[in-house]
Amino acid sequence: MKTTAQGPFRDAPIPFHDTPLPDDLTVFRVGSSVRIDKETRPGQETHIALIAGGVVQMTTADEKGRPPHLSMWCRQLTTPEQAWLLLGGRVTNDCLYEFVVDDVRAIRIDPNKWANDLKKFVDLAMASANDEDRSNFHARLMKAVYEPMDVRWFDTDAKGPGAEGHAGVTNLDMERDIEGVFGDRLPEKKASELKGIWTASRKQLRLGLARAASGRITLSAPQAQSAHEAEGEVNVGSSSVAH
Amino acid sequence: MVIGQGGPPPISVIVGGKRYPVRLSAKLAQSIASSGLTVENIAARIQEHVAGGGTPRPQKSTHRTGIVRFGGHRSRPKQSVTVDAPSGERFFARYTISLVSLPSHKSLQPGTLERRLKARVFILELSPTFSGEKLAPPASVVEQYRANVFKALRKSEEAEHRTYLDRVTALGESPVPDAVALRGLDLWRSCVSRSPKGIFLPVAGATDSGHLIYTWDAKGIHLEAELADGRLTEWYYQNDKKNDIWYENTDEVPVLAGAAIREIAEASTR
Repeated sequence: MKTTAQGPFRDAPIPFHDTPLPDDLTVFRVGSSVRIDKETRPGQETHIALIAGGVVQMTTADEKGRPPHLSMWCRQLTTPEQAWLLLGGRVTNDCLYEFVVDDVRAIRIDPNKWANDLKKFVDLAMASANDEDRSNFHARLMKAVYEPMDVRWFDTDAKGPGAEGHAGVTNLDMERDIEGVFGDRLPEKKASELKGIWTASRKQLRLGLARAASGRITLSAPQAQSAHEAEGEVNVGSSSVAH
Repeated sequence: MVIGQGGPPPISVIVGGKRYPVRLSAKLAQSIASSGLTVENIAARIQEHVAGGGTPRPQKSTHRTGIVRFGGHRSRPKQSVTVDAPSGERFFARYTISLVSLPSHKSLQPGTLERRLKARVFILELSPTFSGEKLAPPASVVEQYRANVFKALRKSEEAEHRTYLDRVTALGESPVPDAVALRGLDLWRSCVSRSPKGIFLPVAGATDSGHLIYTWDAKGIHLEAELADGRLTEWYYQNDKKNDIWYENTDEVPVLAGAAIREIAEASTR
């Protein structure tokens, strides 16, 4: 569902669960400055705050998504104030980071850097997959390792204005899946080495994502509160709702 | 702007092209306000003199002979040295050293903004000039001051970092486990001792999963260490210019990490 400048969805994208967002839309993620030390450290830039504050890391709720996804909100369908309320109206959720969908999709693991390591990773994982359907296993692994990140619509349990704009970045981190791949079939040292390769390649993706953040807007609680009052009561989702 | 009303305003000082934000506690802001000083005055004075007076002068006249006095504490007799230094540096030699003389970690607590600020400037701007021939105070004296300032700043910064760790271990949602915070403090100390000038510190953050992340980053060079309960510390380094990446899972500070911190510190001051 890609739009053009004249496309029918440019002004009103229509979200369908687990379908890709148009390239030219903007998504944002809500974070918390409370978790960052020395927020005004000299020379600190936006992407450092995102990395240090774990903004580009999936939460437990994100990991439980099917598929796992880094929860975001589409700017064209959800206002920052609505997202703030949908996330539970926590005062500590005071930062907002924006990403252009196309920029997120352009982020890749550097093949020249990782090709050999990842090939070793896949080969060994495959060799250890004796009891599994090899073709399915291989497809899952190749997807996890090589498929670029995508931004897709995802339904959310949170109810209220703007909920339809919920989206997520997929394929950023499937660490749990990968851990499950090996089980105890590999020697501990080898499994640890391979996990290291996997983790580091994800860190490269996360850094790329953090650097793609186009800016930071501070959400103010009173501002969000006024939105709350203007829109009436909002049924806020459970605490498992991802950021 | 007279501060102390409506909370402390954000101020910053630009040194060597870099902006150094200064955060004031409400108590300190009140204290400065009641003394008649304004934060902007302090910042402006420092800013002006870092820039060499703010007004371009002929090269010849920017070098003047001045006197730098070291010591002054009753247990340490004053020593005077004649130096030939640009006016901006002379200002700092005169003001900074006199104000920062014999610092202790107590004297550099947040309640003493001016000393703290000047101590930072002293390290950032003046230290390199002491190794030159034009400024040649006794090396032992310079080293003593430098060591005092580093030690005091580290203690002060460490105290601040401890406060931060206390905060994130008490977060209502997904707090950082105490064991991770203790490992974080050890890592912080180890890394700070490897950083040049003693004050190039990482940005620390806690994730929603209770992990601690330390980040060093400048000009396309990135180093991070992620600590999680029950896992080895995950180190990741990426240098875009050199197209270099390394990673290691270990609770020790890798040798490469020490080199990376120095590299990033250098890049940040370029």
